[in-house]
Amino acid sequence: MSEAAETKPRVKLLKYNAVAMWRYTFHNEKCGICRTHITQRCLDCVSAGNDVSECKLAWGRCGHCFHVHCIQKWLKTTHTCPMCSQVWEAERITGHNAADEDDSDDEM
Amino acid sequence: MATNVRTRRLMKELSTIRKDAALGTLDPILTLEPVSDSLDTWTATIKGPDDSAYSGFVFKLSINIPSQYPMTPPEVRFVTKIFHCNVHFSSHEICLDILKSTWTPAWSLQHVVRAIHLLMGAPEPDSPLNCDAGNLLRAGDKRAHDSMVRLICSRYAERLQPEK
Ligand SMILES: [Zn+2]
Ligand SMILES: [Zn+2]
Ligand SMILES: [Zn+2]
Repeated sequence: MSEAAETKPRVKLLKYNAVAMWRYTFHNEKCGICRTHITQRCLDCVSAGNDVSECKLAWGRCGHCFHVHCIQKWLKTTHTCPMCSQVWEAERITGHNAADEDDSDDEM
Repeated sequence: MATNVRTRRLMKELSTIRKDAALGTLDPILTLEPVSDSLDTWTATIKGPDDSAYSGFVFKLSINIPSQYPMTPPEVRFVTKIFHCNVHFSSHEICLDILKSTWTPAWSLQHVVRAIHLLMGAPEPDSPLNCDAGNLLRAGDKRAHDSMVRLICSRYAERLQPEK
Protein backbone atom coordinates (compact mmCIF):
# COMPACT_ATOMS: atom_id res chain seq x y z
CA MET A 1 0.00 0.00 0.00
CA SER A 2 2.66 2.49 0.94
CA GLU A 3 4.86 2.83 -2.08
CA ALA A 4 8.34 4.12 -1.52
CA ALA A 5 7.87 7.86 -1.25
CA GLU A 6 9.54 9.63 -4.11
CA THR A 7 12.26 11.78 -2.66
CA LYS A 8 12.78 14.15 -5.52
CA PRO A 9 15.04 17.08 -4.80
CA ARG A 10 12.77 20.12 -4.49
CA VAL A 11 14.47 22.47 -6.86
CA LYS A 12 12.87 25.91 -6.57
CA LEU A 13 12.71 26.68 -10.26
CA LEU A 14 9.74 28.96 -9.62
CA LYS A 15 11.87 31.51 -7.90
CA TYR A 16 14.44 31.52 -10.64
CA ASN A 17 11.81 32.54 -13.17
CA ALA A 18 10.36 35.22 -10.94
CA VAL A 19 13.77 36.85 -10.63
CA ALA A 20 14.18 36.86 -14.39
CA MET A 21 10.91 38.73 -14.77
CA TRP A 22 11.75 41.33 -12.16
CA ARG A 23 15.06 42.04 -13.75
CA TYR A 24 13.27 42.86 -16.93
CA THR A 25 11.09 45.49 -15.25
CA PHE A 26 14.08 47.42 -13.92
CA HIS A 27 15.63 47.44 -17.31
CA ASN A 28 14.18 50.49 -18.99
CA GLU A 29 16.31 51.29 -22.01
CA LYS A 30 13.37 50.29 -24.14
CA CYS A 31 9.91 51.78 -23.97
CA GLY A 32 7.97 49.14 -22.03
CA ILE A 33 4.94 49.69 -24.24
CA CYS A 34 6.17 49.53 -27.83
CA ARG A 35 9.57 47.88 -27.08
CA THR A 36 11.52 50.32 -29.16
CA HIS A 37 14.69 51.77 -27.69
CA ILE A 38 13.89 55.12 -26.07
CA THR A 39 16.49 56.88 -28.20
CA GLN A 40 14.32 56.05 -31.23
CA ARG A 41 10.83 56.98 -32.38
CA CYS A 42 7.83 55.06 -31.05
CA LEU A 43 6.10 52.57 -33.33
CA ASP A 44 3.24 54.98 -34.02
CA CYS A 45 5.71 57.52 -35.31
CA VAL A 46 7.53 54.88 -37.36
CA SER A 47 4.18 53.94 -38.94
CA ALA A 48 3.20 57.56 -39.54
CA GLY A 49 6.67 58.51 -40.75
CA ASN A 50 7.01 61.29 -38.15
CA ASP A 51 10.37 62.80 -37.37
CA VAL A 52 12.07 61.78 -34.13
CA SER A 53 11.74 65.38 -32.89
CA GLU A 54 7.95 64.95 -32.80
CA CYS A 55 8.20 61.95 -30.49
CA LYS A 56 8.87 63.11 -26.93
CA LEU A 57 9.71 61.02 -23.89
CA ALA A 58 7.69 61.04 -20.65
CA TRP A 59 9.56 60.35 -17.42
CA GLY A 60 7.50 59.21 -14.47
CA ARG A 61 8.18 60.01 -10.82
CA CYS A 62 8.76 56.25 -10.42
CA GLY A 63 11.80 56.52 -12.72
CA HIS A 64 10.32 54.77 -15.72
CA CYS A 65 10.34 56.30 -19.14
CA PHE A 66 8.03 55.88 -22.14
CA HIS A 67 7.31 57.58 -25.41
CA VAL A 68 4.65 60.21 -24.74
CA HIS A 69 2.56 58.71 -27.56
CA CYS A 70 2.73 55.26 -25.97
CA ILE A 71 1.99 56.24 -22.37
CA GLN A 72 -0.91 58.44 -23.47
CA LYS A 73 -2.61 55.45 -25.10
CA TRP A 74 -2.16 53.38 -21.97
CA LEU A 75 -3.33 56.08 -19.56
CA LYS A 76 -6.71 56.08 -21.33
CA THR A 77 -7.42 52.72 -19.71
CA THR A 78 -5.33 52.67 -16.53
CA HIS A 79 -3.58 55.45 -14.70
CA THR A 80 -0.61 53.43 -13.51
CA CYS A 81 2.94 52.92 -14.72
CA PRO A 82 3.04 49.79 -16.92
CA MET A 83 6.42 48.81 -15.48
CA CYS A 84 5.83 49.09 -11.74
CA SER A 85 2.07 49.61 -11.33
CA GLN A 86 2.50 52.72 -9.20
CA VAL A 87 0.11 55.58 -9.90
CA TRP A 88 1.57 57.37 -12.90
CA GLU A 89 2.82 60.88 -12.23
CA ALA A 90 4.71 62.47 -15.07
CA GLU A 91 7.79 64.25 -13.79
CA ARG A 92 9.11 65.70 -17.02
CA ILE A 93 8.80 65.53 -20.76
CA THR A 94 12.03 65.58 -22.74
CA GLY A 95 13.35 65.13 -26.24
CA HIS A 96 15.34 62.06 -27.17
CA ASN A 97 18.82 63.36 -26.44
CA ALA A 98 18.00 63.41 -22.71
CA ALA A 99 17.87 59.64 -22.79
CA ASP A 100 21.64 59.15 -22.72
CA GLU A 101 22.27 61.24 -19.64
CA ASP A 102 19.54 59.41 -17.78
CA ASP A 103 20.92 55.98 -18.63
CA SER A 104 23.92 56.67 -16.40
CA ASP A 105 21.64 57.58 -13.49
CA ASP A 106 20.24 54.06 -13.51
CA GLU A 107 22.27 52.88 -10.52
CA MET A 108 20.93 55.53 -8.19
CA MET B 1 -3.84 52.73 -43.61
CA ALA B 2 -1.35 53.02 -40.79
CA THR B 3 0.96 50.02 -40.76
CA ASN B 4 -0.09 48.14 -37.72
CA VAL B 5 1.67 49.09 -34.49
CA ARG B 6 0.48 45.80 -33.07
CA THR B 7 2.20 43.91 -35.88
CA ARG B 8 5.44 45.83 -35.41
CA ARG B 9 5.48 45.14 -31.72
CA LEU B 10 4.76 41.43 -32.31
CA MET B 11 7.64 41.29 -34.81
CA LYS B 12 9.92 42.66 -32.10
CA GLU B 13 8.67 40.05 -29.66
CA LEU B 14 9.24 37.32 -32.23
CA SER B 15 12.83 38.38 -32.82
CA THR B 16 13.48 38.37 -29.05
CA ILE B 17 12.00 34.88 -28.82
CA ARG B 18 14.18 33.66 -31.69
CA LYS B 19 17.27 35.15 -30.07
CA ASP B 20 16.44 33.47 -26.77
CA ALA B 21 15.80 30.18 -28.54
CA ALA B 22 19.20 30.42 -30.25
CA LEU B 23 20.88 31.22 -26.92
CA GLY B 24 19.05 28.37 -25.21
CA THR B 25 17.38 30.73 -22.73
CA LEU B 26 13.80 30.03 -23.74
CA ASP B 27 13.47 27.12 -21.29
CA PRO B 28 10.95 26.01 -19.94
CA ILE B 29 9.28 27.17 -23.13
CA LEU B 30 9.87 24.66 -25.93
CA THR B 31 8.22 26.65 -28.71
CA LEU B 32 6.46 30.01 -29.02
CA GLU B 33 5.56 31.08 -32.54
CA PRO B 34 2.83 32.57 -34.71
CA VAL B 35 0.56 30.16 -36.55
CA SER B 36 0.41 32.39 -39.64
CA ASP B 37 2.06 35.46 -41.11
CA SER B 38 -0.76 37.66 -39.82
CA LEU B 39 0.55 37.11 -36.25
CA ASP B 40 -3.08 36.98 -35.02
CA THR B 41 -2.76 33.53 -33.51
CA TRP B 42 0.23 31.95 -31.82
CA THR B 43 0.95 28.60 -30.27
CA ALA B 44 3.28 27.67 -27.46
CA THR B 45 4.48 24.45 -25.92
CA ILE B 46 5.85 24.35 -22.38
CA LYS B 47 7.32 21.72 -20.13
CA GLY B 48 5.45 20.82 -16.98
CA PRO B 49 7.32 22.37 -14.01
CA ASP B 50 9.99 20.02 -12.63
CA ASP B 51 8.74 20.36 -9.08
CA SER B 52 5.17 19.36 -9.89
CA ALA B 53 2.97 16.45 -10.92
CA TYR B 54 3.01 17.89 -14.46
CA SER B 55 6.73 17.14 -14.77
CA GLY B 56 7.71 15.00 -17.75
CA PHE B 57 4.82 16.17 -19.93
CA VAL B 58 4.44 18.83 -22.60
CA PHE B 59 1.52 21.26 -22.70
CA LYS B 60 0.27 23.19 -25.67
CA LEU B 61 -1.26 26.68 -25.45
CA SER B 62 -3.10 28.75 -28.02
CA ILE B 63 -2.77 32.52 -27.97
CA ASN B 64 -5.09 34.99 -29.68
CA ILE B 65 -3.85 38.53 -30.13
CA PRO B 66 -6.66 41.10 -29.76
CA SER B 67 -6.76 44.10 -32.10
CA GLN B 68 -5.82 46.50 -29.29
CA TYR B 69 -2.75 44.49 -28.22
CA PRO B 70 -0.55 45.41 -26.32
CA MET B 71 -3.05 47.76 -24.66
CA THR B 72 -5.23 44.74 -23.94
CA PRO B 73 -3.94 41.30 -22.90
CA PRO B 74 -3.62 38.29 -25.22
CA GLU B 75 -6.26 35.58 -24.85
CA VAL B 76 -4.54 32.37 -23.81
CA ARG B 77 -5.94 28.93 -23.24
CA PHE B 78 -4.59 25.43 -22.96
CA VAL B 79 -4.97 23.21 -25.99
CA THR B 80 -3.87 20.20 -23.96
CA LYS B 81 -6.47 19.10 -21.44
CA ILE B 82 -5.14 19.64 -17.94
CA PHE B 83 -6.31 19.03 -14.38
CA HIS B 84 -5.46 22.28 -12.61
CA CYS B 85 -7.60 24.34 -10.25
CA ASN B 86 -7.12 27.54 -12.26
CA VAL B 87 -7.87 26.03 -15.66
CA HIS B 88 -11.41 25.20 -16.76
CA PHE B 89 -11.56 21.48 -17.42
CA SER B 90 -13.73 21.71 -20.58
CA SER B 91 -13.07 25.15 -22.05
CA HIS B 92 -9.37 25.14 -20.99
CA GLU B 93 -9.71 28.81 -20.03
CA ILE B 94 -7.03 30.06 -17.64
CA CYS B 95 -7.66 32.20 -14.56
CA LEU B 96 -4.58 34.37 -14.17
CA ASP B 97 -4.56 38.00 -13.03
CA ILE B 98 -2.11 39.25 -15.66
CA LEU B 99 -4.43 37.98 -18.39
CA LYS B 100 -7.16 40.20 -16.96
CA SER B 101 -7.02 42.98 -14.38
CA THR B 102 -3.28 43.38 -13.88
CA TRP B 103 -2.21 43.26 -17.52
CA THR B 104 0.17 46.00 -18.63
CA PRO B 105 1.87 46.42 -22.02
CA ALA B 106 5.21 45.88 -20.28
CA TRP B 107 4.40 42.16 -20.37
CA SER B 108 5.23 40.21 -23.51
CA LEU B 109 3.90 36.93 -24.85
CA GLN B 110 7.02 35.26 -23.51
CA HIS B 111 6.36 36.67 -20.01
CA VAL B 112 2.76 35.49 -20.19
CA VAL B 113 3.76 31.95 -21.13
CA ARG B 114 6.34 31.92 -18.31
CA ALA B 115 3.68 33.12 -15.89
CA ILE B 116 1.42 30.24 -16.95
CA HIS B 117 4.30 27.84 -16.34
CA LEU B 118 4.68 29.32 -12.84
CA LEU B 119 0.95 28.98 -12.25
CA MET B 120 1.15 25.27 -13.11
CA GLY B 121 3.64 24.76 -10.31
CA ALA B 122 1.90 27.12 -7.88
CA PRO B 123 -1.88 26.66 -8.17
CA GLU B 124 -4.17 29.17 -6.47
CA PRO B 125 -7.02 27.06 -5.01
CA ASP B 126 -8.86 30.14 -3.74
CA SER B 127 -9.92 31.23 -7.22
CA PRO B 128 -10.72 27.87 -8.84
CA LEU B 129 -12.08 27.30 -12.33
CA ASN B 130 -11.84 23.58 -11.66
CA CYS B 131 -13.60 23.08 -8.32
CA ASP B 132 -12.62 19.42 -8.00
CA ALA B 133 -8.95 20.32 -8.22
CA GLY B 134 -9.43 23.30 -5.92
CA ASN B 135 -11.28 21.26 -3.31
CA LEU B 136 -8.59 18.57 -3.21
CA LEU B 137 -5.90 21.21 -2.66
CA ARG B 138 -7.91 23.10 -0.05
CA ALA B 139 -8.54 19.85 1.79
CA GLY B 140 -4.78 19.30 1.81
CA ASP B 141 -5.07 16.10 -0.22
CA LYS B 142 -2.10 16.77 -2.46
CA ARG B 143 -1.59 13.08 -3.04
CA ALA B 144 -5.05 12.54 -4.53
CA HIS B 145 -4.70 15.79 -6.44
CA ASP B 146 -1.36 14.81 -7.94
CA SER B 147 -2.48 11.33 -8.92
CA MET B 148 -5.47 12.88 -10.74
CA VAL B 149 -3.08 15.30 -12.43
CA ARG B 150 -0.89 12.45 -13.64
CA LEU B 151 -3.88 10.42 -14.80
CA ILE B 152 -5.11 13.30 -16.99
CA CYS B 153 -1.56 14.05 -18.17
CA SER B 154 -0.92 10.48 -19.22
CA ARG B 155 -4.20 10.43 -21.13
CA TYR B 156 -4.01 13.81 -22.90
CA ALA B 157 -0.51 15.30 -22.73
CA GLU B 158 2.50 14.37 -24.81
CA ARG B 159 5.50 13.02 -22.98
CA LEU B 160 8.59 15.18 -22.86
CA GLN B 161 11.21 13.72 -25.18
CA PRO B 162 14.64 13.44 -23.57
CA GLU B 163 17.04 16.02 -25.00
CA LYS B 164 19.47 14.77 -27.60
ZN1 LIG C 1 7.00 53.48 -26.95
ZN1 LIG D 1 5.94 58.78 -31.10
ZN1 LIG E 1 7.18 52.93 -12.99
